[in-house]
Amino acid sequence: MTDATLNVLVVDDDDLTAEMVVRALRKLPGQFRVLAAADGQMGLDMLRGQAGEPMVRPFIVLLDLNMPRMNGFEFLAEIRQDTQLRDSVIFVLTTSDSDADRSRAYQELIAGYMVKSAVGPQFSKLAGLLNEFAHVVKLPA
Amino acid sequence: MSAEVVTPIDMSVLANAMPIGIAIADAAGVLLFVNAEMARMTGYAVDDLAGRSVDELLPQRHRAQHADDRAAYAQAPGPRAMGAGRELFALRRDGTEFPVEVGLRPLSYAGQSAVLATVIDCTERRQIESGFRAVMEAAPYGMLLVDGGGRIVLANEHLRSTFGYAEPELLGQPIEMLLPARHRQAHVGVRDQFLKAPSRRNMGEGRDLTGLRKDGVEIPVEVGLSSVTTALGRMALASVVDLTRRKRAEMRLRDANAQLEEFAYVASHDLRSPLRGISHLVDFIREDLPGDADATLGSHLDRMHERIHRMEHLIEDLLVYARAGKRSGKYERIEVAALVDDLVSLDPPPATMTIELDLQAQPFDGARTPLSTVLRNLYSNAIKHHDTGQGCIRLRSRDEGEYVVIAVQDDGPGIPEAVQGRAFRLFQTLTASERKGSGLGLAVTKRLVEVHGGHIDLVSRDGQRGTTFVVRWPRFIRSDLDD
Repeated sequence: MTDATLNVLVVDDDDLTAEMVVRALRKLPGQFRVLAAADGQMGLDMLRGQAGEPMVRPFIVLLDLNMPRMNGFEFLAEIRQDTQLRDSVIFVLTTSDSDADRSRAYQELIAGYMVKSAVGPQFSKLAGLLNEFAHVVKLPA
Repeated sequence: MSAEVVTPIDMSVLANAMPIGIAIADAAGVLLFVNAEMARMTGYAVDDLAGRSVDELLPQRHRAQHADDRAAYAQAPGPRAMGAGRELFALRRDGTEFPVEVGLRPLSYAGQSAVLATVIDCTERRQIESGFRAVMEAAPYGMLLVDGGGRIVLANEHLRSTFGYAEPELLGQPIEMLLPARHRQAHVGVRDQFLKAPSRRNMGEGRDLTGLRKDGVEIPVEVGLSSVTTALGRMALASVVDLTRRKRAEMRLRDANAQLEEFAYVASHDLRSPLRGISHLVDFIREDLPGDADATLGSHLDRMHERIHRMEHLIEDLLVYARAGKRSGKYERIEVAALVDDLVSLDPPPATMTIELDLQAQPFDGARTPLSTVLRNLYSNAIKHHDTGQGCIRLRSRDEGEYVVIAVQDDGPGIPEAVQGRAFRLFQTLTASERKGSGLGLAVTKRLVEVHGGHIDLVSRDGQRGTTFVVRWPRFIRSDLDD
């Protein structure tokens, strides 16, 4: 068990996703801080601290695949090249349930692939998963 | 061994025994000798014909020319065929003409220089030739006869009008004139090969062939090839079909399908996500609504929610409709009775309704899943739209020609004749009670039936209860529908 706050970076061009995550996590006892990036490039900038403070560990990333400017796959390719960030724990959270997208995402060593329509009413299952994760899993420091 | 003594025979006996006409004429064209066959074919007695001018055996219109030809021959006598490249005719005593072939040879006769002519009546051969020509000319598609050197020997009316040429512009020209310049060189080699080892086949199987019209416009063509051996050697006989219309229709169809598919994709992805966003926002508002908020606010949110769901269904149905345009390529044994059994047991009618079956169709091979979807749609419509909830649904099937005819009949309110025309159109709902459905069921049903080569009709009469949907589904696998 840890009392530390878990930082969650939501990288998604739909700003509702981050709010959904915030609202779903709010109902749970854990300590979370949710940040939002509108595309892959903005997500990277935030992780690297190029847009303010660098991301505080422990953190996890919820990554959409279809985004303008830098999409999810490009974000993954870039982050796995980055010596500082390559150990990031990243979940894909997307509307795409295509097999091709899923297997391609796992090639980039994601922690899990979630289809939005399957994470429960108002993201409740997703929030439950994050909560359990925060308590059970030791994330890279 | 006994040696037979051959006595010299009278040459005229020999000449008269020949099956071809023989005539000997002097330089002035006077007939010095004719044989029996020559007299027979022209309708004279032998004695009567000898001594006349050869001109009397020619149609009037050829006589002047013949005198010149005769003079020219006298200048350079030698064995040859007369009138090479022209059709020759001889004149009978009764004034009728017939086509002939004439061979010439100089000879010395009774001490003077003369000409020996052998004459063959080629009426029959010409008839066969002109019959062949007529058959080609009358063919309902383009036909071309091309000689070993790749020159056009015959081109029928259909081919000439397809390519926009008059006959003299084509005859004797290389076949490559009908091809776009970029294909000409390769074609020469290909046609040489074909004439060396001819076979009956379609040209360019699996490729699109292109022809070139006189006006420079290219046309898609299909070409069938065979070879014929003629007196002039082996030739290639090509049938040429202009595919312009078919290709155009195919392209339009492909475009329409591609557009529908693209639209369906856009609908599924680009329309759905903002809709989902709206749905989430409604949830946010509901969550944030203070406990003492006006009750009408909550009910408005419920009504928004309901409409969002309807919209989601519409999008889903649109996708179903688009997918219904894809033919199922899977063929299975279909027993209508078994299909109906499955249908009724999966979706049993309410206790107040009865099902009557009269299923006589023989089992057949076809696309089972789409037919099953069609019947399920019609059957569930019959139950869902029954106004009293008490009634009977009759399912009948029988074989009729190339179709299995399946009728789904209810005794519900019927469909007014005035709206029957739009019953199968997209998003049409015919009754008020149908507001919850998207009205897509019949459109999808019709699309499924037609894409598999069938037909669907609606029978309902004003003033009478009940609606019958009649589906005609193909019983046999057809090459044009099932590739």
